[in-house]
Amino acid sequence: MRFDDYKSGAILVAKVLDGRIAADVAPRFKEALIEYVAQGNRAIVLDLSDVTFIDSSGLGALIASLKVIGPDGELVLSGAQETVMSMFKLTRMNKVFRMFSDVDSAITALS
Amino acid sequence: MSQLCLSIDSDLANMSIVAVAVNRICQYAGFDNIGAYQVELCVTEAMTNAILHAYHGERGHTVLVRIEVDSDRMLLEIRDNGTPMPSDQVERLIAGSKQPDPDDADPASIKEGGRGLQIMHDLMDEVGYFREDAANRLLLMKRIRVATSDRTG
Repeated sequence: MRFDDYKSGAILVAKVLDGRIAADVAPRFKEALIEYVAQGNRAIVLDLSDVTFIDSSGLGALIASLKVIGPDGELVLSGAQETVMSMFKLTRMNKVFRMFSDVDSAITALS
Repeated sequence: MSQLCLSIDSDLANMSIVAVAVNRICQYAGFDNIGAYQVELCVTEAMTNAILHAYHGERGHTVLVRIEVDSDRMLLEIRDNGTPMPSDQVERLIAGSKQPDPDDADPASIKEGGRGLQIMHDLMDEVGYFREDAANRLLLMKRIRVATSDRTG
């Protein structure tokens, strides 16, 4: 999995550069997110604006990462396209993840 | 009716080319973006199950995806020759399961996996599973809904 990441104060912004998150890459996606947490990041904005497809495995990787960061940390999502958002709504994961229309809104909310 | 068969080796890395082709065929058939995504999602979930569960993640086996396009519906058959789907999984695919809303106060209680069959159940108009001649046949059907203007007034 490829990411483009930078820090905005204490917040890590990680943009997913791969367009598809399915079962073939979900384990590596999960490892990469957990590594961000292991590096000490406690507030993470995951920018999904370039992601065109996510399946249940990708969703599982996100849920696993949310568990790892725990109640004292924040993993929020931004920029989900309409199709990707439909997957979150179908599985009601839009109630579990804080989701923002863009990175700036997410950073403002976490600051 | 138009028909196409795609055959891949049982490697997860092969799924995306089939999924992308299915999405494009859906758009050609008249689905909107969300409908095409939903069909692509379901065929991906079905291929994942065939590779990881029927073939236990082993490469070197065949997964066949047959696509049938009619004027008003799309039918997909995902076929493998691996281990049959357990009866409780078949039940979940056909009947679905009433799952409570995830508790957003406690992410720790949310399961990471096991959503694929429910997604197929929820998004398709009809689903089916048959075990025939040592093959697993999973059928997915979705109607193509064309937006029509309301002429009743």
